[in-house]
Amino acid sequence: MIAQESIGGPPAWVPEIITYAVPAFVILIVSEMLIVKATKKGEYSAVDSAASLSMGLGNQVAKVLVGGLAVAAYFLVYQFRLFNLGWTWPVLVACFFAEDLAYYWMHRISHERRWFWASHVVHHSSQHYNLTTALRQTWTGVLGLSFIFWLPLVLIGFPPEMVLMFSAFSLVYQFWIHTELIHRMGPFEWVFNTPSHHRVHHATNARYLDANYAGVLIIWDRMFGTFVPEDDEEKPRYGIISNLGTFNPFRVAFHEWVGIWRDVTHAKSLRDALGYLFGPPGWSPDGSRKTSRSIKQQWAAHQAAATPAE
Amino acid sequence: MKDWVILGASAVVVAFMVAVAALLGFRTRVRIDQRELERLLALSEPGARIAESACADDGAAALARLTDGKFAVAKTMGDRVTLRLHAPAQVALALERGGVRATFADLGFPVLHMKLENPPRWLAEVAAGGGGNA
Repeated sequence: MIAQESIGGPPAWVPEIITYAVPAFVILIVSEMLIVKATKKGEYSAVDSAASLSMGLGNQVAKVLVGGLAVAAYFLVYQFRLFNLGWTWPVLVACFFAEDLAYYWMHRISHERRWFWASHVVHHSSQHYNLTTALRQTWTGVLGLSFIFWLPLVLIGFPPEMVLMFSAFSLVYQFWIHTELIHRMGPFEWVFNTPSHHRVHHATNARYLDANYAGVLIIWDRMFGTFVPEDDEEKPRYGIISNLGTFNPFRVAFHEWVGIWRDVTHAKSLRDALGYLFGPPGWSPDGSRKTSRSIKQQWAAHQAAATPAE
Repeated sequence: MKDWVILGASAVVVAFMVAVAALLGFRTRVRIDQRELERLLALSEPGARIAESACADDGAAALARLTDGKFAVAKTMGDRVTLRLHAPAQVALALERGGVRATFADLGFPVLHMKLENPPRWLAEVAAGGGGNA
């Protein structure tokens, strides 16, 4: 048995990762604004950025108010852990990959199931794509139970502080990929999430819908069949299928939850109610609304009709 | 207490960044005309056909009734336009002084006050009839 050298426990700075990254966020955002102004590459809108940054601020308020619930859940489940995994280098490496895999599935299900989409839709609701979009974050992530996707990690035995540390690293990593200023990054794109991969993720073009769910590593999308490369012939159109008609942060934060409430309370059966809650975004009993699948099917049929027969 | 101090400082930083964006001139407003309405509709709903349409006098909005009975509503959002399709039951139209008021059954799309000094007949008829029950 190989002796595993312990690093002694969680670093003292673990809980402050995002706070320490904020000055860099500000510098990068202002820098991006200046570059966009000078080069006309990329786009900014003051009112859209105001909405995005307000959502980010509200996200931090929500974390102060209810973030402890998620942390408490981690520690509660950790009591029943299957293995005692300490702060050793092999465990840290394993946790990095496990956390990123958990993020991929959380992110994918947040696009495929309306309950989780109701929180995540906020991040996609901007029709712009720049570094302020990265900070456009949900207010309802904790109350919407998005944290449950990481509970298996603490159940396995990864220390909650370690999981939280890598979650914070992942969020900080994903900040810089929200830009149109970086085109491609060569072999880096084979393994890591990049601006190009993430532009596809934020696009509403039928070709790009529901793809590239990566946090740090794009390998999960390649592995699970959700990878779509950016096509220079088709510029991404950003936003959501039913784009919002408001910059009001409260409407942005809660519009999908209100939509769910309306649908569930008017549902004609329990099956329909559950469909509205846990079916794909856009699901309806009569198929009258659009889901990602129906949009892609319609697009594929349109492409086939437009292609001359050989 | 420390958290609230950090949040207060964050709010100041947010205001600073928005001010920089405004000072750099990122305040473009687009206008919607018939051509833009048709372009957006072609992108979002290939194959959809406009039966009747009306563009706001200030270019801030447009409304169209499609051949399948749905309504297409376009609204400027800064330098972007949001186009949404609504079933007739999801939108309520009413005439008001200087234009048309459109109310939607979606918290993400607030009431739209469309400036139209002379609404076209089709729109006036739909609005007079309530135009839906949102």
